[in-house]
Amino acid sequence: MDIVSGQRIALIQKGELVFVESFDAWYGREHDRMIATLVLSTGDIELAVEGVDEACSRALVRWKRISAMESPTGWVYRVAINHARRVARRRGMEQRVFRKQVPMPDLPAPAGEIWELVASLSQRQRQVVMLRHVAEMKENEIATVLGISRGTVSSTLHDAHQRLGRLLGDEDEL
Amino acid sequence: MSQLTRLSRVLIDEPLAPRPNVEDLWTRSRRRQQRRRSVTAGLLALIVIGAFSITKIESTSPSSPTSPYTSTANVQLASYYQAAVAVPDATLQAVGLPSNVAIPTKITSSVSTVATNGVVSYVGAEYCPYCAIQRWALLVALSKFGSFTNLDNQILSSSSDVYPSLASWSFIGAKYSSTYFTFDPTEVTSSTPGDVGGYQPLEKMSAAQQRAFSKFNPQGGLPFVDIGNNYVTLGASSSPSVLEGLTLGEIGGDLSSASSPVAQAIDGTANYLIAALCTMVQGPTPSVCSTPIIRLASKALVTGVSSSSKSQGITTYPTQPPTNAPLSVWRAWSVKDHAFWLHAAATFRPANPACTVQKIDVTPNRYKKTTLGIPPGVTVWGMSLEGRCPPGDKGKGLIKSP
Repeated sequence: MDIVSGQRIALIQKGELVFVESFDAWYGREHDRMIATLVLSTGDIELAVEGVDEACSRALVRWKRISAMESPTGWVYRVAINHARRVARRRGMEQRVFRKQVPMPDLPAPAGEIWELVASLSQRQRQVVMLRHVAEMKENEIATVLGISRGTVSSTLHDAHQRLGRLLGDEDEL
Repeated sequence: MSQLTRLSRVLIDEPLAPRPNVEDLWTRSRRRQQRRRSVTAGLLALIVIGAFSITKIESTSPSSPTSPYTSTANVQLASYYQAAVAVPDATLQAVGLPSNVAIPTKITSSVSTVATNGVVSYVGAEYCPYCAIQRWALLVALSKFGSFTNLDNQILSSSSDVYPSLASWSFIGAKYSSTYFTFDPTEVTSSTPGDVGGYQPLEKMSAAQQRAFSKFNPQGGLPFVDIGNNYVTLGASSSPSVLEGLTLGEIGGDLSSASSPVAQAIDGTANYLIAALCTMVQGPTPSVCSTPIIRLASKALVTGVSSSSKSQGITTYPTQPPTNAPLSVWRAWSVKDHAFWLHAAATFRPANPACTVQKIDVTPNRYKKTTLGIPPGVTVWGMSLEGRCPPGDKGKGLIKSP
């Protein structure tokens, strides 16, 4: 599944697709959830806010096209994650060049507690877990957002659940 | 619900960061575009310097003569603007006077005001889809008499209006210089919704502009173009539907292709605007005023009837498709419906010659449910009329008897 399927593109080109949700309505509903998802994926509020704001501003100017996608939220997550990754890479390079050591700020509770729990997961596992349990996306949507196969999403999620279950002492809770 | 979902719910209910308002997102988007433009301009500057150096070394041939308005000033303009300011006279000739383009209205002496003598005045708004198309026509027309600089404010028209999210640009910050007249553009609001409804205000009309706007356009429709207190256009002169789904580059590219719907609408409107602008010129007129198509347009301005519109059969109302026809068929019908009413408005004459037409508008309407066989979502057009008749006529002399 692609974010925009061929059938939908054909409908848009024929002018037969009616857009049903305004940007304002979508933005009001999804923004805080996206921030929470990215904070818990990256452990960095500043990075998460930068990624989400950039992605939302890009979505705003392209809303006519994006609102016609099967998963507008998926598109925005993908842009937000990519942007956050670029910013983190640039920041890391600056730190290396200028030999700066910037300590990661502590997350306030309860985000800090969740972060302590998931910090030991790999970055990919954290992203998959957060998109599944915080963004409440389906596995095929997560696969689209991260550009991986659905099977990889399933196995990554399974491994992450097992690890978190061991940490919590109750696997069934996840 | 998993334990993680439960824990993270608190982060959604009590967000970790404030949500920027939509205006902040627009600002961020504009800054991003400016950064990109700066980088592009830097690269272009390097290329131009490189090319100039090579030319200096290799070329000794004399430069060819150029128009006074296509040289240095336009180097600042993006390619789609350059396409608009350089539409050849031959293309304007080939486009002619399409029947679905409204003819500017002659201002009668009874309502004349001296407020805007010698000034070409435009009042529009960034949200307004009709302004999106009228700006292009003004750009094509005015560029025949002078030059623009600082046209770099890209916008989208409102996403919630008829013809949503048309790619456009605004006159904010633009400079126009001409030896014939001055151009006074005003964009009254942005396309960003305001906190208390409507759109955020941008510029205010000058006192003279406000007087002319109130006098010639009492209903306050946009866009409003006043050509030297001689002619006015109220609303778009052609349907903005031709811009739907096109980028600025595609619109600019189509302007020189006479058979394209974009050229038919924009260049067709520009022909009338050029003819109206020619009436403002004191002394020797620019060569464009002597071209056959502009002479023809000048006649149409006087008579109010386009010679080409008679021959294109737009006088018959387009046949309505069946209710269950695809939306694309209904949209095509809507364009024809618009053309019919534009033509009807352009050729309208009161039954009683003693009556004066002061305002004709072609206005859109969308039904929320199927009405008269027309499905919801289809733009249906109609004509509204205002005028003045001698005492005792009670306005009936405005309307022709069936």
